[in-house]
Amino acid sequence: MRPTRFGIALTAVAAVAALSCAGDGTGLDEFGNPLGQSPPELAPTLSSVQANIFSPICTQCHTGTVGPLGLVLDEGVARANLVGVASVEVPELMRVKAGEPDSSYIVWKIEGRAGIVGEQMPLALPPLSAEQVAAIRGWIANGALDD
Amino acid sequence: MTRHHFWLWGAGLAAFLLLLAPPGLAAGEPHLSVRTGLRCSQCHVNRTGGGARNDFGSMYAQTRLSTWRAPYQGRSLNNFLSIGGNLRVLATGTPNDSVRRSQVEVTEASLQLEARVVPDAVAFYLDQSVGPGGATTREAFALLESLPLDGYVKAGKFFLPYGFRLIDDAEFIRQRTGFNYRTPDIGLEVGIEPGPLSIFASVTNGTVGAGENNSAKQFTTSAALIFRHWRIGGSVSFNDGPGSRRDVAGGFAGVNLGRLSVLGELDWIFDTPDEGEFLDQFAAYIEGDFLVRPGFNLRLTYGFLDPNVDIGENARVRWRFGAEWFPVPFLQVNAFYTVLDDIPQATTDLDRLSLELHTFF
Repeated sequence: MRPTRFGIALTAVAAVAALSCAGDGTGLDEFGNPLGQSPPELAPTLSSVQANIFSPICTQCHTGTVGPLGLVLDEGVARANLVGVASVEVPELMRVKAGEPDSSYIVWKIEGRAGIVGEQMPLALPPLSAEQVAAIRGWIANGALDD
Repeated sequence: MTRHHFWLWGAGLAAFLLLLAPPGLAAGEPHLSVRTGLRCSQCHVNRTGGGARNDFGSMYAQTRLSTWRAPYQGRSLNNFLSIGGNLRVLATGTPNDSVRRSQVEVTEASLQLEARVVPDAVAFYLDQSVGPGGATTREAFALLESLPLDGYVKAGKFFLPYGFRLIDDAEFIRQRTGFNYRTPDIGLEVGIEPGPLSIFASVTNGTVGAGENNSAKQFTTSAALIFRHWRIGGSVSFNDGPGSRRDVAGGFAGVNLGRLSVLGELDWIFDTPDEGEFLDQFAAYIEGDFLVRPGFNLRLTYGFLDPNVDIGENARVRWRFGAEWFPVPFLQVNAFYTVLDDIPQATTDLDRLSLELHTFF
């Protein structure tokens, strides 16, 4: 049977797709980052949160010059973009309200609370672990310092 | 993924499109543009697409998109003012055990206003999101049209001219490049559309609509050749921000084979921080749309992401398939199933079923 153009096209798509499946994850953690690059111990400080959460996970999108909704979480600028800055999605809430994790929109977003706009963060990745959420909550509860 | 996969991808997509293209031929939502062979500016006030439909777009939506027709409703309040709007209500369910839940939410409520200050020459355009959450301005610009080479100048806040303007911001090529409905910027855009050629170029603050934070600017340009049955183009963007520089480059193409239309895009994303490691990402997208009957469309999409080219075996794949139906004018119903194929260590299954009701005018 003579192959049709449609059939050839479908075959080409299938071939390209088959060659480009998801990775097998060898040597990676659950967020796709290499194992063995151990960040400092998880603690309720900005440096720890940055090294353990913001840099390896959040900056997969919230990075560089085009962070979604203007939120960039790169090292050195994350705190300025969070603390005392009104959320774009729910403007009556601050992204981070120092001392008040339950009034901080970033906590709502990573916990997937009712009342958030859009989807739970991190988008299209596994939710943060309880320990990671606790570290962010602790950093905020301690005043969201530059520590 | 290694670098030779880039060439594999590029060659694969190019070969695929060449195979699809009939000899001697070339080819809202991008698939509608590909299917009809029309430019974005044919149906939208914004010359690069998205937002309010113009008179032609409104007429097309009422007479060609829907299964059943109704008396024509004009969008113009008078010969000076026109209005538009979109409301999207989304119900989603995650069928897996680890995060089993369902929800209904309003994902978009927006209103558009167009004032034709000088007919066919000067317009004021506003696209305001009124929900969910706080009201935000998606686009607000002055538009100067009827310039040589079918040219225009746009000044204000607008979506940057890059790639296919997919409605799905979560797709890798829109999420990772940062060119989506959540990232308008403020600046100036010029464009010309002589014959089959469309060229757009913008200079913006590079701050995603926030206040300027340095003296550098973001440069974004897109060029495409558009014919009745095929199109091909490319986009590039350079943004030198405080602490980091981002360069993005990509190519896109589409073909129309009657009931079947296919479009695809490849993007390379390079982030160069002043301190820290260089990050090189790659994203790809292929979409196939099959028009079963007027108003009823089947769709299959394939998204690919390598979130760090220098790390192996970390690629992610996103499949989406389903149907969209325009039963009557100004109403669209979508049902899609999304499958995210991640690395095995990813502990959460993010597959989801979604049903969306979209009303617009």
